[in-house]
Amino acid sequence: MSWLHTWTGLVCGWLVFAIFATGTASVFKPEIGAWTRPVLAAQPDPDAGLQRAADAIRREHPDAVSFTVAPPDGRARDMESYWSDAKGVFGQAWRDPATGAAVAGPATSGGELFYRFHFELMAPYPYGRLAACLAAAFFVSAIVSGVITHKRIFADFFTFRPAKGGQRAWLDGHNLLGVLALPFHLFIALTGVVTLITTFMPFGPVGAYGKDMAAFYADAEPATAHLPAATGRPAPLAPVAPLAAAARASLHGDILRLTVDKPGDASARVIFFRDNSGAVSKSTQAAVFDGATGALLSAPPPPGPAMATYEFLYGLHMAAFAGPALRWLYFLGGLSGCGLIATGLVLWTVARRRKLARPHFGFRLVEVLNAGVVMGMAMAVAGFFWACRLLPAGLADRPGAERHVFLATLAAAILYSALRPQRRAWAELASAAAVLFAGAPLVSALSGGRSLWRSAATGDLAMASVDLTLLALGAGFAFIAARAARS
Amino acid sequence: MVLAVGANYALCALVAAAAGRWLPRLGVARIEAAAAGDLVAIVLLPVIPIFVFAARSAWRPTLAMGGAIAALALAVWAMGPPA
Repeated sequence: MSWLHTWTGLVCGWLVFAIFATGTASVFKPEIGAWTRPVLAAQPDPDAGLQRAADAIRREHPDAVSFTVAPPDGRARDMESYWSDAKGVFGQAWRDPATGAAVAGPATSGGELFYRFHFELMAPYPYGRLAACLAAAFFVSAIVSGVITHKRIFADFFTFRPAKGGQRAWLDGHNLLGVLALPFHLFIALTGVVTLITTFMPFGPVGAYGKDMAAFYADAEPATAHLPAATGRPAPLAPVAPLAAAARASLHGDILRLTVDKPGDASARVIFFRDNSGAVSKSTQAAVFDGATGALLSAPPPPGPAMATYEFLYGLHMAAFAGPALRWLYFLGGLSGCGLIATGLVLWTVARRRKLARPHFGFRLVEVLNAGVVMGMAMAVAGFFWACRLLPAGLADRPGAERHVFLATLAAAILYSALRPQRRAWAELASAAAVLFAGAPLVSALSGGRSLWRSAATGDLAMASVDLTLLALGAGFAFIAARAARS
Repeated sequence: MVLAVGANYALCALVAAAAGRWLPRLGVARIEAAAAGDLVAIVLLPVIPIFVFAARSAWRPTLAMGGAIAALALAVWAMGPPA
């Protein structure tokens, strides 16, 4: 069983670390989005924002046959919107709730970069998602076999002997982090697979529906199924802001997103999807309105037990239900997962180094990837914040350039790790991560972002929290660098 | 070992397919059957390797999985097209 734990941990370790690191950052995706678009202020009236965005999309894209807008909420200050025309050409923009137009200022990936990397790994569909699922499944196996391997696991929780150094200290640290957030690690990995269930395990739907996947998707999201065909008779679209208020009353919850199908046609439908306020589960409930008359047509029935279980597990992973305290617990759980994986990877090399008279290629490769990926991911995350502020505003495909900076930073760290003695590589890369994290708020303040003191003075807690977290991470990596330099 | 990992996934996939095919015949909605089958498969997927590694040799559990795969494939085929 120890063999299973060691090798599943090693094989999937670097990938799971990258997934955990970006997933941990994604807990604060809306706040990171707000940090990357400092021109936006918190909006108190989401319905007015929805109306402005709907008007702007209809004005800018009169050929759109459907469009979707996510309203601002207490956390997100921008509005994600996308639309498609009759030829299936798809467009996407982040909009300012105050005007409905695309957000002014430099284009950016915002919080999407970490979120997308977390489950797509910047690889083409569906390979990145499949790799993420496989890594998560291996990680669950590693956790379960780890619990079986460490028979004294709960006694180990109270045992941390950093002064002993070497393998003992790393094993203690690995056990401590593993037990500290064991239920979190287990459920977050398992529910992560559940969020991509139709990609990773499409055989339940295949068994039930055969080749008729359109019927499966219609049953899975009944609000958008069986929409009427276009009549060809023009009819003005009813104002969406009053409908949003009616939808809230009908759904007994807040609105996650608005979809308008065939705007401007007599058969238009306005669909409001409920968010999961007041419940853990991701909701598929929606209120459907006649787009021409504004009459409420239907609200889909609640899901059955299996779909309700799926929605619960999905919601548990996404943590959209969580308040500020619980979100911080998710964040700390994610950090402990990163620590668990990193200590496990280091332990593999520490346990073998003494036995090897001369390190072979495989051992050296693991050493290089350990320092390169663990510290490189930290540097890449911090590097994104620098790229967001420092890349020229008029750069073509600026969000793409941010992604390139992210990947190039990771690659550079791995290369640096290969060129330096391992202990120095750890210390130097950790120092670089510390400088990048701690420097991000300063670079932001000097390059058009909102400074920490201004955010604090205006009571903008979201913006100040991102800056303070970056500074705290900088201090954490400085501590790691100092310890690595001393060992 | 690669064979055991492949058999593990195939077994879970067939459990999901069999549940998706069989449950609607008991009156369960198709979407419920599909979701239930997939959820059971996802839970089984990381648990099966524990039994493989608990055995002294990986061959015996791999052969057992092969037998289960054959039986489930036959059952899915015998049930015919989706209801």
